[in-house]
Amino acid sequence: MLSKLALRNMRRSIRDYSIYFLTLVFGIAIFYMFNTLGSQEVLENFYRLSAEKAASATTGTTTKSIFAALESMLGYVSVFVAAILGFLVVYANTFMIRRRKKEFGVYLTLGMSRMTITRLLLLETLIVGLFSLAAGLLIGVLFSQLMSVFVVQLFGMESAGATFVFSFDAMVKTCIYFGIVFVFTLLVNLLTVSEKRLIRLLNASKRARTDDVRHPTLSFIGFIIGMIVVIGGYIYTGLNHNKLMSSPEALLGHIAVLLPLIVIGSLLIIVSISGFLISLLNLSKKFRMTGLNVFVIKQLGSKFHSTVLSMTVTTLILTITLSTISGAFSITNAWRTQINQNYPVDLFITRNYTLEADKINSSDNKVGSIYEEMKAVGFDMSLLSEYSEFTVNFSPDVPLTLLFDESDFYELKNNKQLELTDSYSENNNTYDSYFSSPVENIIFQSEYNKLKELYHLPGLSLKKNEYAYMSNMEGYKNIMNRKLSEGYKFDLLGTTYTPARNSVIVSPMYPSFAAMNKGVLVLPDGAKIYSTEEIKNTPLMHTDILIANYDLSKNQKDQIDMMFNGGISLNMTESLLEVHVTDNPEYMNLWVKLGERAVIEEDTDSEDQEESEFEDEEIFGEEFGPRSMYIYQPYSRYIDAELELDTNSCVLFIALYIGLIFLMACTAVLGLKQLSDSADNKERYIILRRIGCSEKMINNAFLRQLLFFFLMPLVLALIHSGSILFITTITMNTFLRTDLLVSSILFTMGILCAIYISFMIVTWLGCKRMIHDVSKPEKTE
Amino acid sequence: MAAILEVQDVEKYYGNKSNLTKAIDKMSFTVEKGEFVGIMGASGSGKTTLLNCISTIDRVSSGKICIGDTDITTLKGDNVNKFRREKLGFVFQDFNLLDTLTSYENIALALTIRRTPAGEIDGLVRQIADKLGITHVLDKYPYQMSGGEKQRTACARAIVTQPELILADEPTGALDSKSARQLMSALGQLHTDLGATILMVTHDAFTASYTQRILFIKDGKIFNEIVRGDDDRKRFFEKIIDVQTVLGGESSDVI
Ligand SMILES: Nc1ncnc2c1ncn2[C@@H]1O[C@H](COP(=O)(O)OP(=O)(O)O)[C@@H](O)[C@H]1O
Ligand SMILES: [Mg+2]
Repeated sequence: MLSKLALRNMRRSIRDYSIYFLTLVFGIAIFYMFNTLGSQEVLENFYRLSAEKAASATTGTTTKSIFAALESMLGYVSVFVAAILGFLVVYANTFMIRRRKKEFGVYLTLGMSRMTITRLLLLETLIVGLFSLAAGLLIGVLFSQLMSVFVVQLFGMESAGATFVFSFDAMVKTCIYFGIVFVFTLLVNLLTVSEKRLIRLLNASKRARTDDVRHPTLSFIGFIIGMIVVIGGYIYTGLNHNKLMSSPEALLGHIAVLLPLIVIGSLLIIVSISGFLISLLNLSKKFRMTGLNVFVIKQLGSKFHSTVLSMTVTTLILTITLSTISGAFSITNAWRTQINQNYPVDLFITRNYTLEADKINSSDNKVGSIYEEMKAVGFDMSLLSEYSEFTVNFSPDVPLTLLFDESDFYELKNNKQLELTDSYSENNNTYDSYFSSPVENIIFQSEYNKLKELYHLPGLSLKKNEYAYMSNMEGYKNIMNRKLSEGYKFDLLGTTYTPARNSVIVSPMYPSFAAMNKGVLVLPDGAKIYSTEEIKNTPLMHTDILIANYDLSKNQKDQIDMMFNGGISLNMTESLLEVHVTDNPEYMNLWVKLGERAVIEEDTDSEDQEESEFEDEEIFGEEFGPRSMYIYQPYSRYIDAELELDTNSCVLFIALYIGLIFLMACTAVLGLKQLSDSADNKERYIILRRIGCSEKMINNAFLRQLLFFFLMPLVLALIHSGSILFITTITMNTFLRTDLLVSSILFTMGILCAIYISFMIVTWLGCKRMIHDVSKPEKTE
Repeated sequence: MAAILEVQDVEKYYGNKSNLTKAIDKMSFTVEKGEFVGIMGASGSGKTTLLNCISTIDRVSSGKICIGDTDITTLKGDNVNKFRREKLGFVFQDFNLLDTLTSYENIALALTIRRTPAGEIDGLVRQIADKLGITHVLDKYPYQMSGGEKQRTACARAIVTQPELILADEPTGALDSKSARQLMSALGQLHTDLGATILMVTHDAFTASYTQRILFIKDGKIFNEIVRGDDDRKRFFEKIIDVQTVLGGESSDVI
């Protein structure tokens, strides 16, 4: 009997219930979707890649701290999600129970005991709970699949987490959490029904809340304070932006300061702007007394408090969504582009050595090219699909000061370009000290020809007195572009060189994730770069560079990397020639062998497995001596950059996934509020129709309210996330290009806004149907 | 005098074939310009249905209803709303005031949706409020007003636009007798002062006694018609009571 009544009640107040039910289903689906992330492959991948990267230890602390921060943030976010959803459900429940107070009042007047009503409510909660859990979980499972596909498709990610599995843990978690929420709402409802004065229950629906019109002056002051709080928060964070990335704690610490400021500030701004706007519009008689304007203004004002609250919540969620998604996406995107530009090949192997200049290509040189040397000791060079090798020269006679004068130095210094390179330090920061000792990287025309294919560079044919310049580091590039276009000439050992091109060849030289090639001077073959024969006959520093791409048909990138990822370096403090080796003993042997050949001296007997030891004077004796030593250093694009990108893709996937969930949650907040409000407003729209308002006027009036509710949070969130992303951009600009970041940010923001607005349109259509639905004549007796 | 409203052979059915209610059955009558006509009948006799059909809120099953030169049964879509907005004024039993607006704004809204210039609105609203004696409640919200004040606000809203025809469905139905008397004398005043044409449905003989002519309906048909002529209100009231008695022992309905 009671269960029949409960079911019938629900059928009768189906519209009110449907909103509540919809909220629950949405909430449950979203909660499940969020929690399912924890048991997905994508997170495992994320942890694995993080660990791998930590092991390879080639990435900067900056990015590592981001991941660490993200990891701990995920924990906080889940609490946040739970709170938001709880709020949503409780809100929808109060809405429903408010509309049903009268019904309970009638039961009581009819003599039903409070006990029975309590049991009735209990039963209703149980039925609704079970149904919504079933529906919500089902939708959650479907949506999590869909969304992972969506994320992969839309943002072109080839993340490993593309396939989503059903998560039992997430289901249990969802059931438990919502069980608690249900109990809570039940308690709230029982408290409502236990209202002693019957009349309050019976009259509950009669009284329209018309919150008082807000005071314009107060609103203005509130607005100013809100702005100060928010802007203050951003300025504080902005000023400290270089500390943000120092550690996860620092990042979280700043977020902990910024977030409350944003919350309080946004609340103040929304309250005051709405109040200010409403009272301002109200003041203009002409505006007020036109069409349905007065109705719209009062509508906006009538549910001011709950509206402001939900708008603030939406603003916050939207801010978080916009900034995490755009931030993560843009960083990854900029990263990807930069890798493609700055790391043009899979493998670089540099070899530094000192040798007399004329010996390099002569037959007395016992050492072959990098390729030959490696092949000789047994490296499987067939794994390289294409390769090329070239030599970079340095000459004490060609210093940087040849091209850069003191004013260029200060320009670079002001643009913070100097700090990016390691040779810059506190006691090496004047023009003389900084620019006198380093020398230009020089390559000759024929060497340039060897690298241009793999680097995808334009062809070049220099006349005897022409030069060209390669660079991609912002400050240097700009200065040289200016000079080249002005036809900058310089004299070098009797020849006056003029530029062959009027712009810099934008290209990296050494492997680097970011654009860090200060510059390489390209000179015609046979150009004189040493002033005297004496210098020419002294062993001088040279760098050979092997650039190669992997033959991926033969093996996986990381497998090939295993072989090449070793190296031989000089440990100055311990005077050791160190052989860095991979874990694989077979490959280790190859590197040891290469190390043995690296020292061009007959008496290399003391080498052991891992390292070869030398006496000080043996290395540096006789000022580079007749002997030479070859220092190999391989750089892998995969390890240096792409591994990072993979991890980033995981982070991005997580960010997108969470972001979309948030986006859904906040449109749910607004949409449901609109739906429940239009249910509340149905009488009002009937009245409007009765006094002769056309459908168009009514739709218009409703649309204006809807736009206000949806666009105000959007605009505020755009401003907020704009500021946050601005800070992110200036924090990142030392290693990510600003223009790349900004364009991706705009792109992502555009997509997200489009999604948000399409949600808004769906809400509009839904509400419109609701309004039209109630427009049918009803018996009012 | 020209006929403002012409109802010709109007029928209105509810329900389906198996369960058919004939709410209005071949009804015809006319209302002249400037008349104050009452429609009386027991509960369920089809009064509200008739009014809903005239007011374009509901559609007739067959027959014609002309207001001015327009046959409203042929109007479609937004033309219906436009017609209603421009030609008709309404007073409902349950007031139908917007609870979010003050009395003033409720009245003004009727003008603003007719695109009356903003400058003229204030004068019109205050003038009509003065006539109906509600100047003191103009700044109050419906929940702060008494039933009578609410209904007079609703009347003001219906009249302020000077519609060709004012339709009132049991305007005193929710009022106590003192408020009812206040309202009706105000309506009567407006009728004589402004020459408004009013069609009012009621089942209360006292309320009906303020009109000039009364149509009695029973089971969807016009059963009787009485004209006040030169009688004073008391005499007219007695006549009404007489007809109601003839209509058949339903006096229990009539309060
Ligand atoms: N929407 C409707 N659906 C079905 N029957 C209706 C509807 N509206 C009115 N009726 C029926 O039509 C008849 C006339 O009703 P109504 O015009 O409301 O009477 P009155 O207003 O005179 O009390 C009644 O029998 C009523 O049951
Ligand atoms: Mg009726």
